Amino acid sequence: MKVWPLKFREHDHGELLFTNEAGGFFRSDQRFLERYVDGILTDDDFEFLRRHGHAYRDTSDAAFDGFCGRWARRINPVSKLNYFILIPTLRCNLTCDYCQVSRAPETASGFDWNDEILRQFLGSLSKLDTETIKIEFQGGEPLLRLDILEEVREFCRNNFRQAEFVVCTNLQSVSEEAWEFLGAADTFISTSFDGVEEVHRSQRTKESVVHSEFRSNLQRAFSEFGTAKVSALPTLDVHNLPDPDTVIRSFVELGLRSIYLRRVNYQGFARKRYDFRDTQEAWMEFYRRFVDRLVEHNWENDDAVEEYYLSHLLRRIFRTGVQNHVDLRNPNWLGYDYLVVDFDGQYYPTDEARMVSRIGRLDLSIGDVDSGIDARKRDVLNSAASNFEDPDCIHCVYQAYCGPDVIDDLSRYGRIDIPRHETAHCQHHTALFDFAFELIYSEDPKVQRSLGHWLGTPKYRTELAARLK
Amino acid sequence: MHPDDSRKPIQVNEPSENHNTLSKFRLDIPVELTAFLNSAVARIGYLFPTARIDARDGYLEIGLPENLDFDDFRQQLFYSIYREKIREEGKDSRHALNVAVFGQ
Repeated sequence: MKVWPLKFREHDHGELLFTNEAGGFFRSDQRFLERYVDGILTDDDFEFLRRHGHAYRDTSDAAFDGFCGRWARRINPVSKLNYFILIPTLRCNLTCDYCQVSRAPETASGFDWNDEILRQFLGSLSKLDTETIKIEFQGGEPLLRLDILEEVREFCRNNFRQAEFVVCTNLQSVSEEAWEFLGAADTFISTSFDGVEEVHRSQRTKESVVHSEFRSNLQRAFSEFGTAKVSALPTLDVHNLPDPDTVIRSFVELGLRSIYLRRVNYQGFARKRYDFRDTQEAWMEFYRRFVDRLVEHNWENDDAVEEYYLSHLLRRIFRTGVQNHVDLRNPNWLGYDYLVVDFDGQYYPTDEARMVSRIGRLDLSIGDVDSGIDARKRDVLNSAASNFEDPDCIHCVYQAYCGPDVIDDLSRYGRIDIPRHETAHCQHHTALFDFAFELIYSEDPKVQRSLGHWLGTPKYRTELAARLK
Repeated sequence: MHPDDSRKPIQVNEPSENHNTLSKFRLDIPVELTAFLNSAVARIGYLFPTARIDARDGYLEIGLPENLDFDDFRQQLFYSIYREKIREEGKDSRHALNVAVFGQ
């Protein structure tokens, strides 16, 4: 019997968490680790490891094939380009404190797609080898260029078998024509709501009249279209964190059952206004408190609420093939399956890359709508797209669930080769995965009830949290 | 080797101050693990850049600054050796995995 290589990390109460490269996991103790390292595993050890997918007899064994399948399905394949984030204008009608990409004043000129960029972009769409397309309109405030949105949507509807559109709008000023545009079945709304009225007003809308206008549009969006078409995301300042219960209550009142807690993003201009030093610990303290309150809420209410990213991590732990969040995949291929097209027609591999480039320290553009993709630059970025051979990640117990973030490393440190454990991305995700496994191994029925909801199972089965004693 | 045998015969000298203000320790390494020592020491030196580690014949001379606890450091060092051993001994399985999935 052969044991697939195990990684380990100290966890609660002197226990160790063990994982394999296909994402299988269990907890055990120091004595097991030493038996394993010394090559003196017992029959009971082998039986446990075989039963839980950590061991195989030989390469003709079904257990071997099963492991290969699970491992392969965790690999994010290079996919066809079928997803664009478009910035038809950088102009905006708000001046949010933490605007990350240097919005331009509403009346400014030279910050919109011109006719040539639109023509070239649509021309590039017609060359795509895909039948489905997803377009996300960002900004600035994209509804300021409803004419461009309409033209792009019409083109996609006529040229792809299936097309989906997301308008990322601040819902500040919405004309009747815009409401009509947003009402289409293939068009979705993603807006910002910072969870607490006072916080949203102080950070975004500033004045009461302006805030009332937003609030009225937010209510109209939810009442007309419902939560199937409308999502709202908060952006939180670590130095001014809201009360978790208030945030949960506000989202529930809107009918939302998924809350994606996001900190003010380090990339872009927000770094000039906000102090990001030593914020990781404060954020995780808040995050844990928030999830604790979610667990209480879900215990007392039938309509369960999730924190989106935690649910995503849990799904990546328990399932294979969960590649639907572009910030956490392995390999995290850049510039292949989705592209950002800025207001000036430049291509970026991610929105964060656009933010980094806007502040002028690094140019992470990878071509433009006129000349196409700069394959050489894209290749350079992708040289570190995978954690498979990273000298730190190969020893990390969370490697199978995690993924690198080259753009974040470049943004913060100007390089990608600093020790992983010193990077914000690694520290943050190590803390998140530690927390996720605490929950997975929790014996609290309240936590287990929430886990069931978040994983989409009728009941959380504690056998999933295996222990080798 | 019995686990207790392999981990306990570590001779730890009493901490002593040297001219670089590093407390010096001696750590004996079981012979079965010495093959993985070089890579583990390289890695642990990178994780704890303020520590000084010199490999001798069958043992390590370790110099630790005040803020590093010897017991914790020893634990991490052994973990590092274990990880190198596991990785090295898992080569065949990983190769078989790659052949099965990618055909190479």
